[in-house]
This record gives sequence, structure tokens and C-alpha cells, in this order.
Amino acid sequence: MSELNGVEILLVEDNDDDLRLALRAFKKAKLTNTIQVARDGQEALDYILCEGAHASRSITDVPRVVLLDLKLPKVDGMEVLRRIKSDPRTHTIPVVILTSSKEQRDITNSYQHGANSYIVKPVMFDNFVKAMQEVGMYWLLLNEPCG
Amino acid sequence: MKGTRKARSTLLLAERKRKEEALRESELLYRSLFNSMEEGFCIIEVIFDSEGKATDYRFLEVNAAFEKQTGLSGAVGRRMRELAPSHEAHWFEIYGKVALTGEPAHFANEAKALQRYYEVRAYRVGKPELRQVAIVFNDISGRIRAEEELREREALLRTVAESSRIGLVMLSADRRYLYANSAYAEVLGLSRPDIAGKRVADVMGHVYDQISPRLDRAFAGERVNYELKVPGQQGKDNAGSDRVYAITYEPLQGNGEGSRVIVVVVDITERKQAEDALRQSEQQYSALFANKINAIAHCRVITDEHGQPIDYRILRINAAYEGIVGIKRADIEGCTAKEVFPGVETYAFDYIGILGKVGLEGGEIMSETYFDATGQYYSLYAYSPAPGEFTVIFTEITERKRAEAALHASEAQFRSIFENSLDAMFVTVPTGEVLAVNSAACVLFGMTEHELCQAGRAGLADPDDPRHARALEERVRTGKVRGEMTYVRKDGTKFLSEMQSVIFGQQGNRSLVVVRDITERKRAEQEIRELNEQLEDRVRRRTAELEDSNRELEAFSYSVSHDLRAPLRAINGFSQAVMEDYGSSLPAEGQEYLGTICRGATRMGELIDDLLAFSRLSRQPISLSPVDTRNLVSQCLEDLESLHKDRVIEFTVGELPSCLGDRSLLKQVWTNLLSNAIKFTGNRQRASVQVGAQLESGKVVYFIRDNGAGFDMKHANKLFGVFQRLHRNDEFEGTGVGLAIVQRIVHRHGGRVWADAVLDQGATFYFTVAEEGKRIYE
Repeated sequence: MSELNGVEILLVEDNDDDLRLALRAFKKAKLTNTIQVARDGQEALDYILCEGAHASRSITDVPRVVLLDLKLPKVDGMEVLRRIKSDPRTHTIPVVILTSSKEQRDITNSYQHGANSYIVKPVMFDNFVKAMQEVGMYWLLLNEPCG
Repeated sequence: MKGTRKARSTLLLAERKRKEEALRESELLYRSLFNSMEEGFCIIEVIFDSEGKATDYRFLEVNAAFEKQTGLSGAVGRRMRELAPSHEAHWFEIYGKVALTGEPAHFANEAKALQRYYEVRAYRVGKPELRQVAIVFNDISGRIRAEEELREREALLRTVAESSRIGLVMLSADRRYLYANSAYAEVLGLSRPDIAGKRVADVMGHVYDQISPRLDRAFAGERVNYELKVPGQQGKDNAGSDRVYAITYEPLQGNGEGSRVIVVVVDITERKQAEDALRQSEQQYSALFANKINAIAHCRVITDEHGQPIDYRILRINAAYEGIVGIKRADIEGCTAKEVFPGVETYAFDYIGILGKVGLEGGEIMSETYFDATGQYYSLYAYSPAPGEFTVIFTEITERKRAEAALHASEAQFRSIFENSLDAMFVTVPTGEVLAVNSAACVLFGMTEHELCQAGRAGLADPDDPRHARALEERVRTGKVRGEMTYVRKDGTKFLSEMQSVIFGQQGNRSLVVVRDITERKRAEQEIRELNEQLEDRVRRRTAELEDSNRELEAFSYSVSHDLRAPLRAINGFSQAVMEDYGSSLPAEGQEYLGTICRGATRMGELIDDLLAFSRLSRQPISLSPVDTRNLVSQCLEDLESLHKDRVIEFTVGELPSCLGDRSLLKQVWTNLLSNAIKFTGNRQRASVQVGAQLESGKVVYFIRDNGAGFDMKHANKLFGVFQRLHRNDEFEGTGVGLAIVQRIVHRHGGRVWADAVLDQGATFYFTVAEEGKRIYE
């Protein structure tokens, strides 16, 4: 919030329905911060690493938090996570996995690759809204970003 | 000097008178002497023939003793040949020689005609031409006879002494050997010259200390008897063994220098040994008789008028006998068998007849017998120590009998095993000779028992198979051997067998050889090997297939997990959005429909979650550790408290043994079953849930029992199926996956789960977990 024009949230979501619900949930949760959406893994990486379509962007202009789905076209979420966390320029960006999967394997892998949090999307919208509120509250308001 | 002549003549006369008188006196003296002397005296005139040979003599004068000495009376004036015609010629010759030569003769000679022996002195008297001879003689027949007798007696004594086995010695007062017979010399192991004249102290040096004081007593006139033990001497006869002698000293004639002692030495070693042996034998016999183990009775046979034994009297018994018959000695000794043992004649063992025969005919018998009184077996040995008597000895042999019986039973058992074994068996000696075979051996080799025994190892083992020799070496080394080798049948065909052999017997001189034809087994093994290979191949393929399908399943689950929920979220989320954004413009019915859509989506979400959880169970690896069931159950109950915080449920938790399992999976089992119990007792005023364990066929069975809705047992087969429900959702909510999960977990633990229920009365769920160490199926 210190940088008024900076992106606060990078939401990586390929599913239109989920995207709309998520945005609605953020709105309902009154998270008015700037939200950048990436529709697949490649797009997310381009944005973060300032490549491709986002080559003109400054890499120092990092989002406050990345909400990352795992099942993504082109480059899947786990690969995106690995790349962010293995790049010294980006590895301090908090990454929250936001997925439908309750698979233990996914949870374990995500944390091993440096995910900062793992949230299962609830089926019930009320719960979904509540989860989004809590994510926003924590990562945008309470968490002090690194440097 | 005139007077002197007269005086001289007077003197001469007186002298002559005195001389005459003296002569007369002398003549008187001699005549009285002549007549009073004991010896015979005579004066003879020797008569010569014309050739000057003395042939006879005439008695001129004889004295009084003459007749007594010769037995001749009225001899004076008569010739000898008249008186004793057979008088020996040598008498005439001797006297003739005296008469002719004047040389006196002194001799002793026999006069057979007179049956006398004379000692004679003859000398010439008077003028030589008168040929008169005076003879003084003495009848010495008595002395000669005595001397002869003495000589004979001495010869006898000497012969006796020399031939005696008894040592005889005469000692002089200065303790020297005057005489020692050969027996004595032999006793000392010396030669007689080594003894004769020697001092006793020198000859008997080694025992002289013992001899000396006794000799003193003997020389003092006492008869001394004693026994002397002489230690065995090296290099002599009887070397090494002591000899014992009975010695007697017999003092002889007076004392001082002339005293003598006769020593009699008898070797009594053998007698002493015999005495000792007898004494020892008696001691041994007494000791034997007194022994505690053998019961001994000494008895005398009682016979009837035909000499047949009808009873026997027990003369003497030992303490052991008292013990085995259980009757006091006083009531046995001196009594008869029939008195002591009423009915003895009816016993199975004919004591009177058999022992009586031993007593009467001698010999011995051995037998065995059983005493009811002690319940023991005895060996019986009887012999006859004296005619009409017998000694019977009982020795307890119960243990031996039992051991024998056991041995027999054992032998029979092993014989039966040997005979009936399906394997060929041989009893052999180490050299390969066959002593016994069983019928399986006959069948296997196609030979008779006799043929097998004749063939021996050499005829049965395959000579081309070196394993036989190696097996023999190993058996010698270790006492047993086992291995595969080939044998040859009677028809020459070879077959592969498994041979096992072990050396047995106390001297290790027997061996048992077991031969099993394994041709068939080898073939079967080959088949199995091939089948196994095929099977492994099939398993490999199947595993690959399974791995593929597992991968597919995983992908499917993953996809379901991600993709199936997204539309549900859309349904739910946008229904919610419609409700929020446009709810006010929707009629009540429309709002209700949206509500239904939301609930449907929610429920489908639950179903998907449960299904995913269920499918995960199949893939999740199981990790075993000891699980404290009691602790686990109380934790579950704690977690479940929120489900029933407004209800009254009586929980009873009994004994819950620990088990080996995956704690988190088992927790799910308990949670599911307990939450079911809580759920299905929901309409009970007083709900009751019991948890416990019981032992069934040695296995721990856990159970959860409730008094809830229960179910009809005819639907029990559907109980554990996925999505199978026995209650409607408006009765009890649920997805129908909980029990399917329970069953899957229990099965993965190698256990079993089942239920027992009565509709409206409650249900009991049971499950087991494979006990520790048992293979867990994964």
C-alpha cells in the first residue's frame, strides 16, 4: 500500500468461473488493492520475471502476494512456484497456493518448493469468501514483506 | 758174726715162709678174683694136628663166670669140639697162633655155636711147649645187639630226617649247626655245607634277633614253640612272598657245653594262607550276606517219605530279606515257608518245588519273580551250599524291567516306523554290509530282502557317482550325512535319490541309511521352476498393468479433485451471487430453488471429498508401530465431543489391548465407528455406547456397541459397500463412505470387520487387527 500504483495481488487462475468468484470474493472482502490476473503459468512467470509481454516491467516491482492455482495450462503451478522460489530476485515474494486439490502429495510438494501457504478452495461460496478475506487480511495487512 | 749165720738162715726161712704165705695169699687172691670176676676166664691147652694146625683145645681151668658167659657146664678137662662141634675154625686158629707165638690177641668175635658175641683177650701162660693159653672173655652179645639197634635206629632216623619235608636241625650249645637236614637247607635256600658247623647268627642273620631269645630259653631246658614270619627274599624260591614257619626247640641232654637243642621247622605258609583265605572268605560271605540290596535266605529242604520236597525251613535271612517280605526276622527264621507264607504252594512260582530241587540235587537256578507285597520285580538266584540246603538271593530289578519294557516298546515303535516307512531304509555296518532292509527298499530297488543284503552298498550305489565316496567320508567325520546321489536298481537303471545316513549304536558300528527316490520330485521341482518363471513373468506383466492403472487412477483422482469441484463452486457461488444480487426481485419459490441448488452442490462436494479420501486409502503407504488403543480411543472420544454436546450418552470403555498398526488410519476407523454410534443413537433418550475388546480363538477382537437404530441383518451384506446406506438421509445424514473406509483400513491391516445388529435395538461392530509380527497386506 506504500506504492499506490503497485500490484498488490497477482492472481493466477485459468478457470473463468473461479476467477470471477475470486474477484467477487475480494470485492466482498473489501480488498480494493490492485489485482493482476494471469491466466496460465507462462503468463504468471512472464509477469513476475518481467519477460515476454511484461518485458518492460521492472523486476523490482514485485506483487505483495501471489495466489497460485496448481492446475494450470502451459506451465503448471508447481513449476511456477519452483521458478519464483529458485530465482534470487523473486524468491522472497510470498506465494499462497489456492487450489481445489486436497491431495497430500500436492500439499507436501508445495511446501517443499517454498510455498508460504496452502489453501483449499471451499465449494461453498460463503466459505470461499471467508477464505479470501482471511488471505487478504493476513498477507496484505499483517504480513511485513521482506525488504 | 756167728749169730749172723743162724740169724741169716732163720731170716731165710722166715723169708721163704713169708714168700710162701705171700704166694698162697696171692694165689688165694687171684683164685678169688678168678672166681669172682664177671668176665669169663679159662685156661686152655691148644691141640694141634700132625701138620701143626690148631684144631681144638681143652679146658684146663674155668672160673665161675665161665658157665654163665658161655652156657657150657663141666667144661674142665673136655675139648671144645666135644662141647660145641660147630665152633668156628677161626677161634682155634687165633688161639693156636697165641700158643705158638706168645703174642696176645684182643678181639671181638662171634661164636655162632654159642649164639654169643665175645670180646676176648688171650695170652700164653706157662711154658710155651705146654701150649697153654689164658682167655679172658666177656659176652658182649647184648652190647653188640644194642649197638646194632642203635645203628639201625640212627640209620632210620637219618633216613627219616633226610627224607622229611620238615626241617630238622641240631644245635650245639655254642649255637652252631651240628646237623641240618636237606629240608632245612631247602627252606633257607642254602646248600648243606653252607650250614654245617656254621653259627646260627651267621646263617640266620636277618631274623636272628627273633630267634636268639628263644634259643636262650631252649638251651635253658625249655621247650619252645613259635611261628616265625620270614620276609620274602629276592633271588630265592618264593621270592617276594613272605613265608611262615612253625618252629619248635626241643632241648636235649643236660646243660653246659654238652647241651643240644633240636630244631623242628615246618613251613606253614600255605596253611596260613589257606587259613587267611578262609577267614577272608568268611568275612566276605558275611559282608555279602549283610548287604542291603540283595535279599538272602538260607533254607533247609523238608521232604516227605519219598524224598520229595514239601516245604523248607528258613534258617537264616538278612535284613534286606526282612525288608522285601515285610515280615520281622523273628517271625521268619526257624519257621517253614508254609508258616511264613501261607499259600506259598499255590504261588505262580513254585518256590518249594524249584528251590527244593536245588537244595536236594545241587546246581543253581536263575529266574525272575514278582512280589505283590512290594509291587516290585526281583531276580532270583538259588544255589545249594550244602546237601539238602539252598541259599536264595533276590535282587530288585523293577527299574530294569521297566527300562526293558520301555526299550521293547520303543524298539517296537521304531521297528514299526522302519517297516512301514515309505522311504527305503537300510541298517548297515560301516564296511557297507547290509544287515536289514525294509519293504520300501525292496520295492525301490526291485530286489528281495536277501538280494539287497547280498548286494550290499557296493551292489546298490552307482559306481560312477563320486558323491557316494564323499558322503562316506563325511559320515565318518561328522556321524551323519545327507545328500543327493544315484543308485542302481536290480534291472540296472539308475535313479537319483536323496540319501540320508546317520551312525548309531554304542560302538558307532551301525548306520541307518535312508534312500528316497527323488526322480519324481526333481521333475516336479523342474515343473515348479518353470511355472514359477512363467508366473513371475505374468506377475511382472500384471504388475506393470496394475502400475499403469494405478497411475491412471491417480490421474483420475487428481483430476476429480481439481476439476469436479470447480463446477460445484460455480453452481454454488453463482447461486449465492444471484441470491445476493437479485434475491429481492425473486419470488420466494425461486429463492428456495436456489437454496436447493446450493445444498445439492454442497452435498456433492462432500461426496467427492469422501470418495477421494476413500480412494487415497488404497494408495497411501501404511506405517506400522505399536498403537496404544486405549489412548487412541479416548483421544477419538475427545475429538467427537462437539458432535453430542447437547445429548446424554453413556460411554463405557473396557479393556483395550494395544496392537500393531498405522495409528492415523486406526484413528480413522475408531472415529468413523464411534461417530456412527453417536449418530445412530441420536433419537435415544438414554444413548449408550460400549467400547471394548474380547479374545476369540486367541485373537483380540475390538467392538463398539450402541443401543441406537440398528439395522436389519438381511441388509448386512451392503453395510461396507461404498455409497451403500441402510438409512434414509432424512433419518440419518451420511455419504455411505465411512464404513467402506473402515473396512478398507481394517483389511489393509490384515484384519476383519463385521457387524451384528437388530433393527431399532442397536448395532455392534467388531474388528480385528493382525497381531504383531503377522504379515500386513499392503
